[in-house]
Amino acid sequence: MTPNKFFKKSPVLESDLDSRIFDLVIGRILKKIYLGLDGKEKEGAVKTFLFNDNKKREAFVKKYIPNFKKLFEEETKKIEEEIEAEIEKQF
Amino acid sequence: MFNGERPRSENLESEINPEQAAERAVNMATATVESRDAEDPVISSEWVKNFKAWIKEHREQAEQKYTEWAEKHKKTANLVRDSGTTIFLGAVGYVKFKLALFNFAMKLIQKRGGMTFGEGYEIGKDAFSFESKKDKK
Repeated sequence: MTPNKFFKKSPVLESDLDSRIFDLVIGRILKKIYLGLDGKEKEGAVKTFLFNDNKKREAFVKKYIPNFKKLFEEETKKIEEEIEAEIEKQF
Repeated sequence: MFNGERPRSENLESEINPEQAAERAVNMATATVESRDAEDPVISSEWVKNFKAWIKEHREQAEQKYTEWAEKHKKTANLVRDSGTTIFLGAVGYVKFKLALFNFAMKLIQKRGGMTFGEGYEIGKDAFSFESKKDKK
C-alpha cells in the first residue's frame, strides 16, 4: 500500500493527528509570546482569553502575534523534528 | 506451554504490518511530545486552552472559505485572511507533514529488514507494548 492510499484509509492520521499537531504548535507559539511579555501584558493576555470577547482577542493577536505565519512554520518544523526523534527512539 | 519461541500464527502476523506499525509509531511519538507539553504551566493553562479553541474556530471558518475559494478558482493557496487574522491553512501542509512522519517511520521499519513476521512481532513488542517497556526498567 502506498503512503497516499494508506492515509486515505487511515481516519486516525487523516483527522486526529492533524488536530493534535495544530494544538501542539499553537501551544508553543503562545508560550513563546507569553514569556516575552511583561507582567501587565501577561495579565492582559490571560484576561483576554478567559473572557469571550472576539474583538479583544483579535486585537491581541494583531498586536502580539503579527508574525503568526512565520511562527507557525517555525514551531511546526520544531514539532516535526521532535516527533521524528521520538519515532526514532522506538526503533 | 510457552517454549521460548513466539507464536507464529496468521492472526498475529496480520496484526502488525509496516503501515500499522508506522501509524502507531507516529501516534505514540506525538503522544510523547503532547505529554511533555502538558506539564508546561503556560501551555496547559486555561487561557491557552481557550485560545486554541478560539483559533480552531477561525481555522475551520478559514478552511471552509479556502475550500470554496479553491473549488471556485481551481487552484491552491496556503493563506487566507479571516477577520483580519492571518491563518496558516494547514490542509495541504498537514497532509505533507503527516506523510513525512509516516514515511520516516516506514523507513526505520524497513531498515530492520523486509518485515518478516518475526521482525514485525519484535518491532511491535518493543515499540508499542507499554507493559514490556515497564518490564525492562
